[in-house]
Formats: sequence, C-alpha cells, structure tokens
Amino acid sequence: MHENELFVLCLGTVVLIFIGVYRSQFGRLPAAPWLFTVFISVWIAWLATVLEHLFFPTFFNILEHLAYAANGILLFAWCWLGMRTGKANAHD
Amino acid sequence: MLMISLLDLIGSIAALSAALLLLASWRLHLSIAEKWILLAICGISALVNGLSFWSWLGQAINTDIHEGFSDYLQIIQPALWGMFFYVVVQSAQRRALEKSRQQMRDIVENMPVILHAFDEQGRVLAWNRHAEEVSGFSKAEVIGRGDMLQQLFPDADYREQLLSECRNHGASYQHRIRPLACKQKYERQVAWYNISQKFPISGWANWGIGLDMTEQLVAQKELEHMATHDELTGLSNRTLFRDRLAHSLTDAQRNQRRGALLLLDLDHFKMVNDSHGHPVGDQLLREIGARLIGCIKATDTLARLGGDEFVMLLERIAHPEEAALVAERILSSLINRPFYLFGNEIRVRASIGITVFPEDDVRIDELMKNVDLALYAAKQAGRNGYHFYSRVMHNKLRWQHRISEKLRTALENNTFSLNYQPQVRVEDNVVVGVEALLRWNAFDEVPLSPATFIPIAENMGLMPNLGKWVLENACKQAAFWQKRNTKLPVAINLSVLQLYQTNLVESLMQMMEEQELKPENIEFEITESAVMRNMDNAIATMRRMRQQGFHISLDDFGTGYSSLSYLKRFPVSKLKIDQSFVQAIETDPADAAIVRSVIDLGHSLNMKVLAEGVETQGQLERLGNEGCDYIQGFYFSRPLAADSVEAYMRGAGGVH
Repeated sequence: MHENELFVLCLGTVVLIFIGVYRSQFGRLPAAPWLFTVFISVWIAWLATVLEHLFFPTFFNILEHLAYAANGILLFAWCWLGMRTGKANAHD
Repeated sequence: MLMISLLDLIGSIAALSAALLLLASWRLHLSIAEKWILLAICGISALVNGLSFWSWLGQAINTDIHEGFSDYLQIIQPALWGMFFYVVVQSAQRRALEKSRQQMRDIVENMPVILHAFDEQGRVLAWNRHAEEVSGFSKAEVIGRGDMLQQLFPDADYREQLLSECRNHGASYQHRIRPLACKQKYERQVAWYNISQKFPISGWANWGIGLDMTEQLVAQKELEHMATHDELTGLSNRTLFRDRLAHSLTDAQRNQRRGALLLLDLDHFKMVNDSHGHPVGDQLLREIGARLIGCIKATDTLARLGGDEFVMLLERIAHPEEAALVAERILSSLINRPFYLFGNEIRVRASIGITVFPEDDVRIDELMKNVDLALYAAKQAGRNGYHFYSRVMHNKLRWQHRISEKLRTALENNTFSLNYQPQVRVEDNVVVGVEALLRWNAFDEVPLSPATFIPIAENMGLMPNLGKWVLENACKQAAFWQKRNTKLPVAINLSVLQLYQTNLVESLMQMMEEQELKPENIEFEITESAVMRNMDNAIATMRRMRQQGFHISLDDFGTGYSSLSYLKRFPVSKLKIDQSFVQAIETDPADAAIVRSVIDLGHSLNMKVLAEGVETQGQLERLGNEGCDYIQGFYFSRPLAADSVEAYMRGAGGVH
C-alpha cells in the first residue's frame, strides 16, 4: 500500500464529511446532486485504490478504474446540466 | 486489462470534455474561483485517466517519473475538491449576509417613517425615501450637509436643541411634534421619536424616526372644531360656550368685573320654515349668525344653542346698560335690514333675555336659567324686545312653576273640589240656581284663586282635563239634587277649548243620559271673548245646545268686546254683568250708567240679567232699582260646599 493513496482517501473523506455538514449551503449550485455524485464516484475510486491492496485486488482495481471513468463521465454530465441550469439562472 | 484501459480512455475524454464545456459556458452559475477550481478538477481527472491509459500503451518514457507524477496529481484532487466546496460555502454565507443586509436596507429605506441621523456637527447622515417624499429634499441635497438643519427646522430653539442632542451623543424622547420645513415652502407636522441615547449606532451621534402627523392633526382639529362648533352656522356650540362662560365667570370674580349673557330667540321662526322651507330657514340662521357677530366685540362669544336660539357672552361691561345697548343694536340690526334669501324678502324679529354676572349669579346653570326666564319675560311682554332678569321675576316664575307641578299632581290625585254660589232672584230673594266654582287647596288647605291657577293650567295644556272634571262633577251634583226633587239649576263655566270641541253637544248629551239629568237643569256660562274667537262656530254650537234644552249665559259681559251687533245673534238667555262694574255702582256714576245700560239692553233683547259680586245692601238696592233680575255675591252667600247649599236654601226661603 502506498501512503499517499491512504492520505488521499483520508483527505477525500474529510471533504465528504464537510459536504455532509454544510449540505444546506450548496443549494445554489446548479444540479448540485449530480455534483455530489461526481465526488462520490471519485471518492469510491480512492477507496478502491486502498482496498485493492488488502483484498480482491482485481475487483477493486476494476472498480477503481470504473469509478474514475464514471467520474469523468459524470463531470461531463454535470457540466452539461449545470450549463443549462446556470444559463437559466445567469442573472442571479 | 483492455477493459480497464478503455475505461481510462473514456474517463479521460469525458473529463477533458467537461473541462472544455466549463470553458465554453463561462456564464455558469458559479463564481470565478469556483470555475477555476472545477476546471482544475476536470483537468486533473483527465490527466490521471490519460496517464493510466498512456501507461497501458507502454509508451511511458520513464515509469518512475510517470508514477510519481500520477501520485501527486491524485493528492491534489481531494485538496481541490475540498477547496471547491469550501469556496462554495463561503460564497453562500457571503450571499446570505449580503441578502440580509439588502433586506435591512430596503426595510429602512422603504418604511413609511422618516429616518434621520446626524453627526456631532449636525450634518445629516441618514435620510430615507419617506423623508425625501415628505420633505421634498432628495438624499443628494441633504446627506453630509451641515446647513440643512436650518432649512429643515426653521425654529431656532428646536434647532439648537437638536444640535445639543447631537453633541451629547443622542437623546431619548417620543412623540415630540415639531414642524418640518419642506422644499415646497410649506410645513409638515411630524411626531419625532428618538432612542439614540439608549441604542447608539456607530458613526451616528443622534438618530431617530419621525411620523408625518399632518393629516391626523388636521383631522383632529376638524374633530375638535366639530365637537365645539355648530355645524349649521359655524358658531360656537353649547359645549364651547359653557367652557368660555366658566372662564369668564372665574375671571369676573377674580378681577371684580362684570359681564352679561344675552339669550336671543327669533319670534315666529317656525313660520319661516313652514312657509319658505327648511333650506331658507337654515340659510336665514347662518345670515343671522353673521349679523349678530357684527353686533358684539371680537372678545365676546356668540353661540347657537339649537333651533333659533342664540346666546351671547359679553365678557366685559361697565354697567348693565351696556348689555341693553347691545340688545337694542341687535334688535335694530334684525328689524331694519330684511334678509334676501333665494328670492324671498324675510323680516325677522327677536326677543332677548339678559342676565348680568356676577350680580345675578355666578353658577353657569343658574345663569342659563336666569337668562331663559328673562327671555320668557321678554316674550310675555309682547316679543321683539329685551328683558333683564330680576329676582322678582325669578320668584314669580318659580312660583308659577311650583303651581304648575302641583296642578298636574292635583289632577292625577283628584284633589280639586267644587263650591256652589247661590244666584238669587231680586224680587223675592229666592234662590234660582247656583254657579259651580272650582276650588283648589294648593298649599296646606289654603285655597288658591281660580284666577291664579286657571291661566297656568291653560299654559300647561291642562284645561281640557280640568274642564272635563268640572263638567262631570257639577253634572253629578245637579243630578243628585234633581233626584232629591230639588230643582236647582247649576251654572257651569265652559272654557274656550270646550266650546270649540267638535263633539261637545254629543258628549254633553251622553253625560246627561248617564246621569239621568235634564239639560234644563244645566246652564253654561260662556265668556264673550271665547265666542268672538270663532263666532260662527261658537254660535252654531250654542244653538245646538239651546235646542237640546241647555241654558246659556254670557259671562263677564262688558269687559270684552260688548259688540251689540253680534250680541243679537248670540242664542243666550242671560247676561251676567261683571263684578267690576257692580262694585263701584254706588260711587262711580259711569259704572252705574253702564250697569243700567246693560240691564236695559238685556231686557230689550229679551234676556235676563244677573249681576255678579254684590256685597252690600246699597248695591242690591241700586241693582233692584235698575231692574236687575238676579243677584250673585257675598251679600247673599259666599260659595258653599255642596252639603251646605240645601241648608242655605232652606234658610233663605227655598228654591224657585
């Protein structure tokens, strides 16, 4: 196991907790649930990266890459949705 | 492995596309910092996926370098996400704060009160939209200017007070109504509230709010005016008048001065309303009010008490004659100049009562009563004049008032009685009848003369009931004597109201039937003046009464009209010479001549003649010599109670 992977997971988990605490403040973000899903996907990737060194290495490796790919796709989807919503609320 | 590489490729392309989208749609609903961070996140995500794919292709130049770079990028990722969400939270909180501030600004700016704040030099620091609307001065004209206080508050004392409060860092007061000068050169009345001493605001030495009360104050003044002034004429009303009178009385007592009250009532004002209509009457009252104001001093008070009654308070008079002069001035101003209203020429006369204070009284209610009595006396004296209040008049009217109250009670309690005075035939001294006379012991068994209480009963409208009572009781007594075979005709005085009662004869006949009394046993005495009021009607009624068998005599003949041309038309059988002629028949040749003439006249018209008030042997002899038929008076008998009449008759020689 690389220490940096564990560090990334810890840092990501702290951000996840931060989101949970301040979730009411994110209401103004366009398509906010989608953005949270983006972060969840990348956090799953970080988790899988750590777990593949402990057990089911193949499964977690595939899950890691799957989550990274989902992260990219969801980012794109959020940008697309956010662009539509954001344009509508641009005057705010 | 191939699948993983494909996933990396897809992830890399998608993240890159997301970054491109972000760049393309820069107007996304995000702040600049948020967009840059997200762009970094997308870029790193694309790079991480891209590097993974690149390594599969086996194209890495140096594996160690590649892995190290990828590790660093992965560490940056959560840090960037953390930064992003932190920035979002900060931004949300900043926006919420800004929104809250804006709401507060909007509330202060748009609340319907004037917000004003000053610094220690009296410069205006706050001036909201309502202040602009009320004063007409815009923010730009007011804010920061030290000389604005002078324009906004022209009252130097109040301005100095404001500056003093600024120097003292605030004040504490509420509902301090002061004028606010407006740009358009008029003033608004503003109620100022200040709590800056208790709740200081940084940078403001003195602050407060003001409520524009101008409309409310105007409405309040209108209400006060309505409560104290007569709506029709605009003159003072009773409330204000009493207030001024109270002050005047206090002042008169304290400063040893004299004042007067004049109560004016228009004579026959009702006729104006009836003949010309109420609009003309109302306008007349307005113009009379205006004319009366011209007759008194500016310091005096004129009020309308209601209807056509005006009252004037003369604050200072040197002597009572001054009040008389004012009354004369008022009367002449009304009489000499007619009023021209809606094409009608209207002449007005008035009666005025005057009372002087403190001589007559110093109590408001008593003074009002006094002046009312004086007015009553002026009207009794023939109207169109004035009359001063006096103690004698007061006593007389109070006595009349007492009598009237007792009269009403007496009628309810049936405490009147009838006495009967014998009427004697001169030639043989035989009693031929009796006259029923009303008696009333008003005060502790002391009889009161009918001449005193009958006019009061007439004024009070009690005569119909009183006349009916006399008629019923006299008829009852006559019926009693008739049943005892004592033929004793009873003479009853018939009042004017009874004479003109529409169903008089029918009600009389009904009474005769009820009492089983023959009409020839009743004689009605009617005065000449009563007949003359409506002679045709009276004669018709008298004829019908004669047809039914009643006797009729003409009472008090010689004191009224004594019109000979009418006398022949009256269906009367007897003339009664008034006692005023009889009493002086021995001493006054003129009275003796009148009595002789009346007796001759009565006989010529085939009537009997009766002389009233015979008290002496001499009077009896003179009347006998002149040929008088009957005598009534104290010489024979004073009025007797019903029980005593028969005894008297037996002693006097019986009945005819």
